[in-house]
Amino acid sequence: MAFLLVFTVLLPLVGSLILFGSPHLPTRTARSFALAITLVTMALSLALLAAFRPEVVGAQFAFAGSDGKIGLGWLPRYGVRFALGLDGISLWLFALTSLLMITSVFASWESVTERAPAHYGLLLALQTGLLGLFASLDVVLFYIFFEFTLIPLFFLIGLYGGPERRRASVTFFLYTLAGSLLTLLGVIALVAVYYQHTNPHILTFSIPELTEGLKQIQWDEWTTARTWGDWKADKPFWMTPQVLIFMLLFAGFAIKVPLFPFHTWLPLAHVEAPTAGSILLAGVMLKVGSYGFLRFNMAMTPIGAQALMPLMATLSVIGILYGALAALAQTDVKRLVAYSSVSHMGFIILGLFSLNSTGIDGAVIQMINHGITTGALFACVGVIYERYHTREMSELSGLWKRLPLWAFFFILASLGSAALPGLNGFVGEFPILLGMFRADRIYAILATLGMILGAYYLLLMLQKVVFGPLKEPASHGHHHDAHDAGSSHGGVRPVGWHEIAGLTPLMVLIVLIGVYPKPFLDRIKPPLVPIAAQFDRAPAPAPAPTPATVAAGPGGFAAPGAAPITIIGD
Amino acid sequence: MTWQLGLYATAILVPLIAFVVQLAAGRRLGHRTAYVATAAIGLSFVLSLVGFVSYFAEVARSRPHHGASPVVWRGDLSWVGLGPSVPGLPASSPGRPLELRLGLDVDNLTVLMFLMVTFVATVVHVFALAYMRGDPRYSRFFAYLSLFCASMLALVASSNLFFVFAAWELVGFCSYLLIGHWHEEIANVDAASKAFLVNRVGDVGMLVGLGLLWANLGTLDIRTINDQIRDGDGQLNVATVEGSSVVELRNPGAVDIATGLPRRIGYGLLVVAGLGLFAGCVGKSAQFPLHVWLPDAMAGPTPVSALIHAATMVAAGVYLVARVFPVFTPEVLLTIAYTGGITLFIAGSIAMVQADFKKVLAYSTVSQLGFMMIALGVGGRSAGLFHLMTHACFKALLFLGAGSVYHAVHTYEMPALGGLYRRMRTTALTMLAATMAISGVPLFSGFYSKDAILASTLHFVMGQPEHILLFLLPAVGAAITAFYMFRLWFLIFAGQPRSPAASRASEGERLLTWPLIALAVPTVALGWPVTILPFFGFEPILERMLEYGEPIESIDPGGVQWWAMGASVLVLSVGFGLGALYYGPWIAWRRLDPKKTAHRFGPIHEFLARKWYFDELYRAVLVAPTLAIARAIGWTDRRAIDGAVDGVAWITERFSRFEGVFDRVAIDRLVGLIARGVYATGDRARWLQNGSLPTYLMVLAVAVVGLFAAMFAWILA
Repeated sequence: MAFLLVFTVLLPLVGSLILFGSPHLPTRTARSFALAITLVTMALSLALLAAFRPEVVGAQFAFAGSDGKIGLGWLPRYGVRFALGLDGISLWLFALTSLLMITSVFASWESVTERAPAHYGLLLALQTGLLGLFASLDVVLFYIFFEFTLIPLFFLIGLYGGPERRRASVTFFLYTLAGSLLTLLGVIALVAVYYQHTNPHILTFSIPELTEGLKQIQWDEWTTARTWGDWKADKPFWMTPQVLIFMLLFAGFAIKVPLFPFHTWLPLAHVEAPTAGSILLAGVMLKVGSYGFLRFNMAMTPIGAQALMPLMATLSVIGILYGALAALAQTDVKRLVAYSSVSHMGFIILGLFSLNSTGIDGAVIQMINHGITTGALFACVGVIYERYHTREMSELSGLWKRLPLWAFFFILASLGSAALPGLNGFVGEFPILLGMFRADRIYAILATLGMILGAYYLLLMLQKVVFGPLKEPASHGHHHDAHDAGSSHGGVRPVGWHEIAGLTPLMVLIVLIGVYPKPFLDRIKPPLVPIAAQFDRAPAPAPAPTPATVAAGPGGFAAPGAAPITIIGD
Repeated sequence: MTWQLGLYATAILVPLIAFVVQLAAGRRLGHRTAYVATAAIGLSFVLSLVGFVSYFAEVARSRPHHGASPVVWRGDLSWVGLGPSVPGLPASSPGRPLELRLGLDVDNLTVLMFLMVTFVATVVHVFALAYMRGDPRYSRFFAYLSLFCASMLALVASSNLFFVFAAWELVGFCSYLLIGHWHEEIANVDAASKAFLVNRVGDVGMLVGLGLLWANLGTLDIRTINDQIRDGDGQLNVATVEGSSVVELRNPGAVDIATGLPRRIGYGLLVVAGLGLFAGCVGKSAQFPLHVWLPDAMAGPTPVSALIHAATMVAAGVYLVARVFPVFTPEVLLTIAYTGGITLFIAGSIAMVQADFKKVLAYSTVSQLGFMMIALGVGGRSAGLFHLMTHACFKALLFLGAGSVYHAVHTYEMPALGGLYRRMRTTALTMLAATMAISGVPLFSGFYSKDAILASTLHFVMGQPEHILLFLLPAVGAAITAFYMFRLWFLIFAGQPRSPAASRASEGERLLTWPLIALAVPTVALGWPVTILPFFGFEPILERMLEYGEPIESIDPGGVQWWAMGASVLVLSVGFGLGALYYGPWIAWRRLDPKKTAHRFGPIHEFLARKWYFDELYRAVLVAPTLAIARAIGWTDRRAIDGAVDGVAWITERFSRFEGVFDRVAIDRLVGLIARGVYATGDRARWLQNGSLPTYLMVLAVAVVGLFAAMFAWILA
């Protein structure tokens, strides 16, 4: 299975190289080829999903090195290893990436006509970056993939985007790069701290090893917990290594999420990005931020996370309300959906920093949910833009009449986003809020106000675009009839098979997760247990410091030296 | 698990399955989906009937006496479990991660609610078969109705607050879909969105309430919460700990895991949680100040108004207040009572002057819901619920009658009606029965329930005379009710036709009239004290059934009842008398002219006709500022984006002055190398080579190297 995972990650890259190598391929061939690659990748992801054993806490499908550690020695001298594997958290993000990539290819089906091979090549390259990122068990590998994803997206926006694409792509690139360099610094600091405080020194870049090892190092400064209130302590509260490293890690991830006030690149990038770029950006790239928060900030600097919880929760709540209000003010549908992402990502971070298993579990399932619903919303907006070349809500109305199937998809995705019970958003949002009620009710109460605004802008959008009397931009009414002679739908062509094929799986998932989330949660929960356990108010009995080794199982690896989990109190 | 629980689960699932079938096979079945929906809800009604008989037979066998635990059928299954499963922890400890369960809890209230909901729903389905015929989205309409029925039944059967909340949102959503059924008309969509949003405002309160309860009690199960908060006598166990009042929880098994002390919840928190839950009920049951959505909701088809916006969904708020009754502290109960009192008065006053008779019925619904709330607030739990049941029947009847009238004349404007009695006798007579019931004419169902409410409030006021308003408001409200209802009936059915349409009107087909007759039976008889079941005495049998197994004993008005009955007959006479004097069927009766009165009290009439200016007020105070803030944020954010981009450019420009210094630095070469590699990939991307990007990258690289140096100096120091 380990080979299968590596193959799955690398297959899109191979496809993308082939496409880059043949720039004169006709559009039809290029898109069919890209579709074939994404479909095979999806099939492989499903195979991994089927082989995944939900009860295992640690990563699965990893190579067993000759020395009993995860992964193959890559730069053995420096402890860098080629380690790929999936646990319950990354598994779904991995699968989500594969799925949304299919939607992206279908969304580009008709709209990309120029330089198609390069476009699909970039999409596939991005896929490898994202798949690799979620599967990385090594910090260096993670970081390489993390940065790698920027390049294809940069070109996707810069070459295939709207009128202001250059400004958007440069802003996006610089903004995220600047942040991620600080994150790199933070990650290196973690490695350095671990190296410094192990005896004999252990230089490792393995994420599971670091996660486990950092809990056990004997360094007073590392285990000191100071909070906001401790102003009278001899040192200000932020002068602890965990808080400082948290802040470094925070820089990159907060921009990726994006957390208020680091969100300003997002609307610009979304509005200018082609539909496929938006789907992936909102659906998967934003999750990289929250995933990073979970994997690094919360798992490796728990004391920092605890100390900065008020900051994180405050920024999340502001983001929730600010994003929702900003969405309310938009007249461009795509911009509206972009701002709604700011609001919804705020909910996810709020759930993570409730620092209890209720909120964290909810946040992780919400990452998947948001990827699905927002991906679907952007794909739906793309359908409209392709037909009318406008996204202004004042120019569109009553499209239900013209595109009934599209309207159904759009409404379902909006309702999923608005957390209607029975659809996926509810399964995430409800636990997030309740988790926060347990952690600190003030943030929770403020966040619930976001639910009013969330319903407000989504209903307003539906009301303007889907319902009401039919209204289309003047130039795309009967005038267009001459072009689409075969179409019986007045001006525009009805929803095509590729659009249906791209959206249907997302719709099925919106309902499936909403009705029966158990199979998803069953896999998500086990790896989150040790993370949440770190934040339990009553200190867990200190586990005996065990050397971080790996117990190899037949199909996967248990978490190295996983301490028995005890839940005491809250 | 008893077989009856399966029965009730089936009763919920049947409409749900019907909904799925209608969605999936809608194309193939076409208009026949309507029969699927009707058959499904009919089956649910039969199941509820079986359940009802079985429940009270079991109650009879167990010989109810005070203090005995009531018969309850419970069962649930886990839907979403979060966090690790910890076997040792008690079910309701605050340390436990959230577990969401789909649970049913069938007690006397659920049994009766089921019977009422399925009965009214079946009748409305049958009516809609004919009424909606020819509608372009005929089958879609019935699919939504099925989903609504399933959600509504789940709502009244759920055992925990999570499931209540989910069903609560779903019924609201169905209401949204059905109000906006004719969504080509933007006004209808507006009304639908307004309903959904106003309800969301309340729901947020509800979420806060259940969040606080869960965070402090560690459970969402309603029965457990109720048991924990009240002691055996239904009292709150208030203590003072470290200067703040707390409520000691009763459940002896659950001590605080962290401290080992008996668990308690702050009194203030309990008040906030209670107010939060009540806020949800205020939204759903259209109470002041969130009542504004219900009159607009009349934009939906009339069967929808009858089922959702009169009989069932809007009563869910009252139902929930009764369900979580023990959670409410005295302060909260007083708030509930005053909310109900204010609502019933405001809505009644508006109903007096409306010309659109569907609007009159809508405001009348709001007002009657206020009666139920005030009863609950003063402690008359069974009185409020009794009124819920009787109101469901006669108000559904009134709305279906309205639909029947509309079907004949295609207008809701009363000035264009009149004289319909001779042309639509069934409609006229059944609506007269409903009018007499809602006005509280003795022997009609509404008389008994309204009397019970007045008795409760009178009893309460005699104990606490400073709250005299709580008796005066419903008493005046009852007179107002009789006035506007007889006005409505006289204007539609009495006198001479005032428009050609009215003079040509005729009774519709039997599918339209039979439902009216079916509803007229309980409208008349629901309050009668006849009994075949083991409840005796003068009191209405239905009220006795509702009283059974109450978490906290309702107040017993005792001798006050006779006074209340007198008051009730008195206010009825006043209301009816005024109605007859203004609008009576014969000229001889009409001694007062509504036009003159309206003219004399011009400003007041205008104030009422404009519905107390609530819509205008909310638009000015809530909606406009929200949108203004939103626009301000939208604008600032755009500025911020530009600012950020410009800022980067500015820094770069400053920095590029030193460019020469760093030119030879290896980093620049490295960056240049990467950049060249990047350009080589996309040779069409010539715009990259305008020189700014490498500079940006270099700035970053230099900054990062500096930070690296600083960090290592710190860590390795």
